[in-house]
Amino acid sequence: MSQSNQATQELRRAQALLPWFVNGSLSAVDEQWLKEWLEYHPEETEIHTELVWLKQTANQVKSSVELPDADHGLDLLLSKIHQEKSIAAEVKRLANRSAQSPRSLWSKFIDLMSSPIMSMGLVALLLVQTGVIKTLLNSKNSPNSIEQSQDLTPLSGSNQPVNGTVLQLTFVPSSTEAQMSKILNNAHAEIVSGPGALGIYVVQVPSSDADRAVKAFEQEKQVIESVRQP
Amino acid sequence: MDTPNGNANIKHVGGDEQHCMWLRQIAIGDEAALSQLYRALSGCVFAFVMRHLENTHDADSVVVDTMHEVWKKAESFTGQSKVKTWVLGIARHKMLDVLRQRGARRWDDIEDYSDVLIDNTPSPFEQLAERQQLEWVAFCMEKLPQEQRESLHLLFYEGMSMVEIGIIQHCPDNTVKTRIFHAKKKIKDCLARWLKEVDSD
Repeated sequence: MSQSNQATQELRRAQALLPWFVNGSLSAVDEQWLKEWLEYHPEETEIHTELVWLKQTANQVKSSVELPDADHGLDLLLSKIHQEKSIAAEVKRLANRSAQSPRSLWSKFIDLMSSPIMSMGLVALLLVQTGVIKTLLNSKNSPNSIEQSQDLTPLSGSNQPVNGTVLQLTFVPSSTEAQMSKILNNAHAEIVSGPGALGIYVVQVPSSDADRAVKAFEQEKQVIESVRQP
Repeated sequence: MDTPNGNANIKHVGGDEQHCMWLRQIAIGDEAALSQLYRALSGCVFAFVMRHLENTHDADSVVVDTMHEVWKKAESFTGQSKVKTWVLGIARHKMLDVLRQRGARRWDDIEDYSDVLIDNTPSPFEQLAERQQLEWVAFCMEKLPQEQRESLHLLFYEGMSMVEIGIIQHCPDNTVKTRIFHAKKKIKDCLARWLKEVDSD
């Protein structure tokens, strides 16, 4: 390598390392090399003045954000967590109660049935219940009867079972919600969950269209960063 | 390596032992440790997302959402990066979601201001360093494309290495280097134009 080539390469290396020299994150080896290079090349005035400018700019970038009081956000976070904890505790309490209640009801029922008066009462109740059921069955066949339960649908949300092919998608940072929706709609894909901590969306596509959907997603490089089948 | 609380996944990376210790405590449901980590990192998360969201309300929400995710996912921290890098990575995705919901173009390129900012004759760094002002730097940074602005913020505000910036931005070191190179050039040109404009007034 000629001397001028080496000098040019060293200058480029120095220029590339300069921002990290200013922020103090260079490795010890690189830092030492750059210190020595700067010392031995006072004639490279542009790089020396750039160093001064970078230091100044770094200081200004640091002071250009006004930080809010952390207490307000922390209070919000803790109240969110407490709310979740109390909901979880309530759900657990109800689950425990429903798990225990059949046993206690059953034992109460056994106690009650041990009395002869209650046994006779139960027989009478069964007879009344049979009559009511028979009446209901007859009314179901009449023209004005209420529609059968299988015609009822949820008021909101999808009523389709999750039975397609599941894919993991990562969108490029610059993608917009409109772009994402368009691509997902074209592939008949639905978001099942996400984005997670790493920005991964889990989507579901009809199994019959899975290959076509994967190809379509892979072609949308402007919007979709990666497509994976878990 | 087993940690004192039996969580083998969380180990420290040089320089953030304290954060790792809090994270271990958070993983077992310690709210006091969460408060400590919040106080330590909420400022840097806020500063990072504020660069892009430019709205304190949205930035505050992203900080709370990010730390909420930290609370729920503390156990999944693998120790492959510093805790701060991991937290900023989570914040970045939360922030990108907010930007997506807004649906609008998220930045104006410096070139769009060529009619406002008189010309692009470069001024020497020396002159810039002496005369540039805080608000000009903030203005010029706002005009950078998102990835370049992000790189520059992580470089100067967080003092992060090339590798750490690459982890947060999910890109190789060379891409970080290129982004910094372009960001630096655009900021310099933008500041030089400001200086010209001031001089002509």
